[in-house]
Amino acid sequence: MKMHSKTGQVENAVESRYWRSIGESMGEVEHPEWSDREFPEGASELPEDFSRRDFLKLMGASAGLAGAGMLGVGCRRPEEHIVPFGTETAKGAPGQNYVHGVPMYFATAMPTRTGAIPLLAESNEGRPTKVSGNVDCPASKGATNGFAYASILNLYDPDRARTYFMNGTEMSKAHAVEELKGLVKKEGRTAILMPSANSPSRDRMIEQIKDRMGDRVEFYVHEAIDFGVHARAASRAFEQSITPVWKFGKAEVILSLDCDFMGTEEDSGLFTRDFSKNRKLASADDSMNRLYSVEALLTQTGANADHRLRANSSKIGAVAVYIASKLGILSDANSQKLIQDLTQEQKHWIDACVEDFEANKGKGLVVAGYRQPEEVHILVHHINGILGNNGNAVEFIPAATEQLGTLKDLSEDLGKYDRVVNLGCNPVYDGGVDIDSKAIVDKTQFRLTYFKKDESHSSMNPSPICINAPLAHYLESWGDARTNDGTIVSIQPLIAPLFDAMSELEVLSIYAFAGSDDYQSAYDVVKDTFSGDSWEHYLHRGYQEGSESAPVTDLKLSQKIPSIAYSTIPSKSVEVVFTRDYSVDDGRFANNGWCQEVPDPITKITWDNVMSVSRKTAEKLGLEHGKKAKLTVQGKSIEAPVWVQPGMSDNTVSLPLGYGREGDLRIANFEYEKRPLINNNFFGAKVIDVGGFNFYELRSSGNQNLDFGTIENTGEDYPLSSTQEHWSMEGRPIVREATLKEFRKSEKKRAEELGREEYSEKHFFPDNLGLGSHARNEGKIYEHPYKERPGLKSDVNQWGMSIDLNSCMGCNDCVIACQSENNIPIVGKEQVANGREMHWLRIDRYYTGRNHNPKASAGWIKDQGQNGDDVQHTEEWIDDPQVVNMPMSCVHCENAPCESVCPVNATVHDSEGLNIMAYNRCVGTRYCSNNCAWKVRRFNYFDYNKRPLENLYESPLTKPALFLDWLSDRERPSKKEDEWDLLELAKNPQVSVRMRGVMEKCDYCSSRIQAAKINKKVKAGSGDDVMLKDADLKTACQSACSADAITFGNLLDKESQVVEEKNNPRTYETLDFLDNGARTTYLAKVRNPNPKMPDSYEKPFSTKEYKAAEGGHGDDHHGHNGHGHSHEEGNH
Amino acid sequence: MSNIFPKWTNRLPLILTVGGLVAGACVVAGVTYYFTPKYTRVGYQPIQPVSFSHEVHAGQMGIDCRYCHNDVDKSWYSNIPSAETCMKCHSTVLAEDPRLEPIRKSFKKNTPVPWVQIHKTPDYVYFNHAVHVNRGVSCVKCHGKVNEMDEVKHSKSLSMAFCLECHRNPHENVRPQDEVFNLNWEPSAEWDAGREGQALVDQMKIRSSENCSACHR
Repeated sequence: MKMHSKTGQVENAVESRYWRSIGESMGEVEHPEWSDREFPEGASELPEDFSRRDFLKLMGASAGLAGAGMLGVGCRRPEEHIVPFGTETAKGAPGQNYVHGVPMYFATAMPTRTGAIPLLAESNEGRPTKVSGNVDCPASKGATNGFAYASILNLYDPDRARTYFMNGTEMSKAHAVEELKGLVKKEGRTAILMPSANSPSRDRMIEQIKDRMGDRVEFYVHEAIDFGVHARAASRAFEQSITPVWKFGKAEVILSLDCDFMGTEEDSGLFTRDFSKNRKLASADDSMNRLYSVEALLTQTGANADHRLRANSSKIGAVAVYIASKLGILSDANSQKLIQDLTQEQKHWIDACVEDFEANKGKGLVVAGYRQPEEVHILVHHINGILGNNGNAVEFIPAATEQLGTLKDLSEDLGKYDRVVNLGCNPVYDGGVDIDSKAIVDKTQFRLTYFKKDESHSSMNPSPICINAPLAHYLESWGDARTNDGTIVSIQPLIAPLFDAMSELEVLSIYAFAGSDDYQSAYDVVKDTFSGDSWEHYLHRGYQEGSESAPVTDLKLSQKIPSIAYSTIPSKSVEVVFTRDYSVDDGRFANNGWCQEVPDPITKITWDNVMSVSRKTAEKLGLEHGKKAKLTVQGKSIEAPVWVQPGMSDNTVSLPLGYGREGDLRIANFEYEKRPLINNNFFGAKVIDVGGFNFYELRSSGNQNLDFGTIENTGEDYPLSSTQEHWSMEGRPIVREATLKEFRKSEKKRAEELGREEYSEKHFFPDNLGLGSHARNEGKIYEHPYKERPGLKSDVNQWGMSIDLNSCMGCNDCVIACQSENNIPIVGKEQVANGREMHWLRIDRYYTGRNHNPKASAGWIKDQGQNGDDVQHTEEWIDDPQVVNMPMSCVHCENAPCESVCPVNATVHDSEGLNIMAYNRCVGTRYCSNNCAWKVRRFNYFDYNKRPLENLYESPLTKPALFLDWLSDRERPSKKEDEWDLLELAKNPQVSVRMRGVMEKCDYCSSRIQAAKINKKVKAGSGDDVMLKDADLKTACQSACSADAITFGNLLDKESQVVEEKNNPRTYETLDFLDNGARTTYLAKVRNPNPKMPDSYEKPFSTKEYKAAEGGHGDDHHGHNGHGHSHEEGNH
Repeated sequence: MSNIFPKWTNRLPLILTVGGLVAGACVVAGVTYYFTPKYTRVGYQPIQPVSFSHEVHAGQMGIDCRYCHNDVDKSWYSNIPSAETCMKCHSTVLAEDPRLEPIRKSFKKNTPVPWVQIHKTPDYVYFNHAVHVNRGVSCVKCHGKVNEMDEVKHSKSLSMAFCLECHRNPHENVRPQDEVFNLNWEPSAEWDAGREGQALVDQMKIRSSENCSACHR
């Protein structure tokens, strides 16, 4: 086909140097056939035993139903009523100006373990439907994280605790409060167990309780993931109560010691925002920061580092010691012993890295992650001290909260107390194996729980005298919090508690007033704590102006440097790293469908957690990719699937926490019913639990982050749903990158030649990044709507988007924000395995390797058969991959291939450059998806909104009971009623909820565009100021991006940010040789390697492939340059 | 053999063809007339719980539409007023009238008056009142002369074709912004849609969209 020579398409996956899975990198033989298909295997098939006869039966039945339906409908529409308010005040408080149909926005904040995320919550008709970052708040400037976006779904979780009860008897809230008051007044000592928080009101209540109740009440704080180490270490290092505040924006060189500040650390959104600010290159003169990362697991931070060193988690201390000794801080015998464990390569790497820091004194930042022990953190403070970074890129503010006892302390002190009051902890699940949580549960006499039937209900019955109360969501309760820099933010409710739930502050207030009747409501508690001028102003803005803590300046490092314990991995053992999960946190988001279904940013696995190991470790210990292995730690063992993860350090197993919950939570632990499934290979006839594995069962409170254990293969298959191999881009140069040096060189040349006649864009920056612009405008495959009919094009607004790959850290926040904004359903583990996930926006993650020799593996695979998963251990180059993240959604081609194949004009172009879906026209041929080169269209194979996930295949046609239901009420879902009632509330009323059989995809938040246009026109009245500017609208993904990687706006507004971004020399268009005129363009990634590093690189690992491809198919059709050969040979 | 089929069967194909065509044409004509909104919707005039007369209030007394439908220029939704709005006058005027009993009850107990909905667009249509009434499109264009209706009835079809007719020819349908709520406004004799109407379209930069995305999201 002509296409091939023109496009320079890489013809065989063996050639591909960007690979999305180990299977693909091996050039899996199955792959090319697979990827020719519109959807992955199984995605578009009928069940195997579905015969022609069945089909006819179904058709007959549907025809009959259609007739019956017509009769039932009648010819007149049903009479409907409009029910206005009786009085104006019923609409809401005076001054609120409630207008039906206009969404309202309230500033609030989501409390986190050590702070809060300031938010702006949208309320439609009294129900919160969406949150976004509070851009006005100086503490965050709108930075958030995916959990904040997903939290809205937690509010409407059908498994929430709904009643107050004691010993099986339900009671009212008033009754429960009376009981609690009695409890407060009762003699004896009480231990209050609470989750961690940073709230002035809570602190005040604790003080008041201590004053009033004396030692009758003690407080304990429990968090499965403990971020308190940062404050504890700083306080010890400087001998005063302080906590560090990292300012990544001020740092030019950054070293992360096992610190995933872009992912699993608290405030990762804020850090990402600061960090990415220094990576937005617009010209050759711009400078850029440099990130070094030393880590055991491949984290988001490591994936975005310019240099990355693999080191065991237990050796990070040794790395810190080596740096310190290079800087002359440490030289004792223990240090020497630690250093001995580092390899020569590691030392060379660190040597060059330290040189860079010494050359950039006062402009660097070294950070250690929460998984590292306090001693490492203290040493890092000393290193930062010597390098002059303290006070610059790392500031210190007074620690806000005092240190309280831990769960372990409580467990030991339990005998001293007569009762325990639990304000939302679940020690049964995440307490740790060495904690006698049963004893704590038995003593618990009052308990706040968020879930109705989680493990603390099913595996251990609460004691008969325990008062069980539902815990309120933060969008239902009053509160306040301090952000990472000490700014006080308000937490105000948007809705009355759905189930009359109670907040932590309410309980503490009852204690603070010693159980008397005049205790304060949470509102009064927060209002009394507030010390600023205007309470209304505070609530309106969401933060107290000028309340941020002043940095402590007169700091002195303690001379005492605690020595770091020497630890080594016992032979035949592995180190086991427990980590906060990217999707479900520590398990608090495990019952949230959005979180379960969002692919892990590194493994791309949904609905599960896996034990990631390195290639070498798997080889050494005989572990198999995707098969279960038995891991034994301190005598406890668990069987879980193994995942061979590129970039993992050897002898390390990572265990993401938060999965494998027990109880009766319909997302966190549901089962697929035993039935013949569409994809029999996937589940077979076996009933499979969904929801992963509970690694808390191996974790003891003493070794929360790191432990040692043994692992052995069991050979048992376990089905994993990974989105990784879906929607492959087939080795085309989708992601382009360069090094900073290259970028500057090409930019200089460009500047010299600009304006000359022979100047051509393609000779410069993008051309060394792959087959580029040379094929543009040559082929005219699809009819261009605006060129054909210029009158169609609007002269007011034309939409465009630009995505900066140098800022994108692959965090998934945009994916969840998009899901929340656009009513995108979740489909379940089984359907993800079938390639039917519905996310309009996905993050593609590509790997490239230094020494990848595709030729070698090609032959190898032929010998070994098709399963690429079995041969992964042999390829060396996966050990140290370079990683690229690329958000991908509909690019809104001007010449859209999807439009020309739609038989019913359901997908058409609008006058403002949007490629839109008219859902009501769509008949579900899926031709559009077949013809889309970006594979961004999503098809509703089922009525995901109405049918229960575990039973998508059951319909009125297959089950008589459902048919009768359907006859009686055609709107009725087969989802359980309690679920339906709540999930309806989470929907955005501005966006249609799509039904089965309809294609959908990104529409640039069409509903937001229309709303913005309408607002602008309403404001303009009879004037002509109707053109939309940047300030008028943001898409959901754009506003979610903490790194500001996504820019969207009006291309006709020459002042707009998106026009500026599109003029950036890094701009390129994906698949531009198709001449589709995509409205979404990308800014190429630029890496900033240090030439003095041992692992330095002249060009990103991917560049070579593009050169090869260009040589093979580019302008010069005859000559093959040196790189071209391999692919020629690889083909034959 | 000719005994089996009588002679007239020779004409059967013709009869069938003609009959089929006629029947088909009847069905098409029938559906076009009876099954489209022009027939099914126009004229719908349900009995309301309170015999509120727009003719009296908006016509004879000349109360502005926005006195009661005060959100029409702010929201997609044109609100039905709360009973309190009625009571602003009717606490003194006709204060004891038995016809107003449901209103008084609603105001006192804050329970809604169940007005029967007349104009309704389907759920998949995102019609917006505010953008129309703020940009030179009068109420009368879609609702007819409500100020002459004693009991409100559905007077226009409000079908997609009806919407598009206007969206394709905005210059024929816009009026000066200050006449939007004047239901009796008629273009003067020298008003020429091609000239004055077009001038308004240009002045307000009206780009009435014919795109699906304008109403369907």
